[in-house]
Amino acid sequence: MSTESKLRQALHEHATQVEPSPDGYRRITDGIAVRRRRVMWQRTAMSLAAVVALVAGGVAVNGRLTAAPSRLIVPPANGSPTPSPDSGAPTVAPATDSRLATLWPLTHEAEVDAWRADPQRAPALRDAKSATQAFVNRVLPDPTSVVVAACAPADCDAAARDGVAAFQLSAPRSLPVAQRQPVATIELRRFGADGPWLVTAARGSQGLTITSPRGEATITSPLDVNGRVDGVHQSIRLDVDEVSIQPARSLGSVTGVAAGMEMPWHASVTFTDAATGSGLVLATMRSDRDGSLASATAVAVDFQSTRGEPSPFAPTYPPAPTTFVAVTDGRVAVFSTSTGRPARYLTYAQPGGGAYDAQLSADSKSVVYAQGAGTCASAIWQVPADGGKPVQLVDAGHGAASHPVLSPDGSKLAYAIARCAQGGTGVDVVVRDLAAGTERVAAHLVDVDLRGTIGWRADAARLVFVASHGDSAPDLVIADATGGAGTVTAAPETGCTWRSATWRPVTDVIVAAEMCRSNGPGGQQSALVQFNSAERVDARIITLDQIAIQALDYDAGGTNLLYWNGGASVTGPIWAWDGNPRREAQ
Amino acid sequence: MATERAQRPRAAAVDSALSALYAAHYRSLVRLAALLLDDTGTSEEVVQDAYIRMHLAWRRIRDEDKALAYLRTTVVNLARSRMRRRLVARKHAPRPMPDAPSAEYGAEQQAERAAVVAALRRLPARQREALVLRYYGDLSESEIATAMGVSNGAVKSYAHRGLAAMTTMLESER
Repeated sequence: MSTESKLRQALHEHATQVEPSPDGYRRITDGIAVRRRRVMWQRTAMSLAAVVALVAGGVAVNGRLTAAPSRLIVPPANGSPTPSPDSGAPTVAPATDSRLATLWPLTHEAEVDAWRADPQRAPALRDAKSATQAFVNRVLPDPTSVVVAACAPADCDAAARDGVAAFQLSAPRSLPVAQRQPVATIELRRFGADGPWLVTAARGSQGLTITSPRGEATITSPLDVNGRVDGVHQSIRLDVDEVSIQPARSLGSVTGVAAGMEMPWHASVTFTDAATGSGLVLATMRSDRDGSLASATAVAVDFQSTRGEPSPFAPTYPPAPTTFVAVTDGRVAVFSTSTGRPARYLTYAQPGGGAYDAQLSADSKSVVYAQGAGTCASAIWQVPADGGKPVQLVDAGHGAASHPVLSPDGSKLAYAIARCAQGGTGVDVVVRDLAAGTERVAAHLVDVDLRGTIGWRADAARLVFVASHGDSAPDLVIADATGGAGTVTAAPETGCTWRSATWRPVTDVIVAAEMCRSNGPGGQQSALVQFNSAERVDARIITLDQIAIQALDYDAGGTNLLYWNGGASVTGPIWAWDGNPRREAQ
Repeated sequence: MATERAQRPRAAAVDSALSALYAAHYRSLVRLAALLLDDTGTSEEVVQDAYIRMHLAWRRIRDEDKALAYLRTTVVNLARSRMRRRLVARKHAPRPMPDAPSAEYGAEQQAERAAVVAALRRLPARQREALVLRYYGDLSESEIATAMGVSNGAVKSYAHRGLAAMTTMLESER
């Protein structure tokens, strides 16, 4: 039989084994709806701006109109994030500790001590659900919502013993539990074994977020607020509240309309001086139909009046990276984080396959990358990060090399290789000593494909990566870089699969990305989880709706985590944060 | 209001075309993508994305024949883009064919088929695309050229070189 006949027969027989899942049509229509919303937003952004100006023109603050009316501004139609204007921008308070970064109602350690000493102390703060209900009653009053546990009873009990709790605000209460929609997730911490339960975060559903001011910022009036929203036409109300054990008091507010797919919004709100030093900036969305609460997000802030005695507990944040390295059109480039465009190219387009899997070294002086587009002639190269001649680290001809990454001290190179001589069915994760030119196999994996990036532990003794096995769930693999010991794998949370993992610099903490099923928009969300040294899931850091994290890496300073959003139908910029959910910068 | 009324039937026609194209071609396109990518999940994502793009570009396409060509081209382009970040593809675990006359015969056929598919996967992406579109898609040279975004001459060249490389690989394994 000729090669042509064999090929035709083999392809048809092989193809019959591929059976698509039955929900393809639903996924397509969901994707079309998402794209339509984005297009609709882009077409109507400018006309919405006019509507917004009318809606937000008059703003009552303590019963009177402000001399300088507050306003809610939609971003330009090109969708670029609106930068925070310099004037009136919040300043971050000097800080030393983050032990007590709370939203409500106690914000200083002295207040916690006073609460403990007070025989008449607020009973609501003794247990987490009552504290949540009190927070909701005073900050997010809504007769249609109900506070429910955000975890299974046994998990809730275990978490409560550790001093953490989370509740969900769901609506409408008239519907059965399964049909209610989440409005917000409220997280709490207990301060001390006998301490009060304090609300530490309120995160909205439906993509409503506040990106600035950041948590614990010291703010002045007028305050510029930036955030993101996911929706075609959403009424947002922004409040600056004084928060204490007493009923919350709104010091200033503004309403307006914003829309879009993960689109940024910007508002300016004026407010009167607060009587106490702490408060919160609260963004809420309500239904146009009946005014019920649809989503709510809050950020804790300090008022300018307390600048003389700043909270000693507010954390400081490192600056976001100004550049990152990635591959575009087969060329390695340094991108600007502010524009999202290449600032300079480090390599030229090459015949025989472009560059891929570019990784910046820990000292940010060089970039390693693979070249050859996954063919058997792939090689690994290194190029100076400020430009220069590339140097070949691994020569071509051994197989399909990929995922190169230098050890923290730059002396070793880890990479994956599917050896063509072995039929390309196995993948070796190889560690190469660059000075000696020797190689050893850290892990030999059969029938797998690597996802995301390979991460080095600070001491260069271990590697972490995600290995996908055909149709079965991918494994998170922790391998001994010396090849001496076996590998360890860890299971993701229920309903999630591993996507990528890396080691946090200078620590023994692994940060891994999961893709999880979600009831929210798009039906899926990415979650970041941390592992302690015992390879146990320690804590979920953050969840991101409609984001498909494909790769993770820390910046050169080791403070900002970069992720690559590679969803099939959702694309977005690369974002960074330092592991703290309230720190989010582009 | 008049514009809205005019848009409704058009939207219904687009949805109906989408539904028809899904029923007729979704499975075969997923299989085509799976031959280029060797991962059913990713193949489905790629094809779903192609349908979404086709739906949004319907004003330019309007015609079901053109839509199929558009879908094929988009699937090939998206698969190529995905391949840039992938290693050489894996083999699927062989499964017995339901109509295999005997275990020995089935095993032999499967081994041969696996060898052919493995050899195909070792080819450069363009050669693989040309062979898959010709021998699985049964497309003409010009249809393949359209799907790959290259000239007819380039298709000939890719297919010829790909077939020659496969013949060498299969013979060397005997």
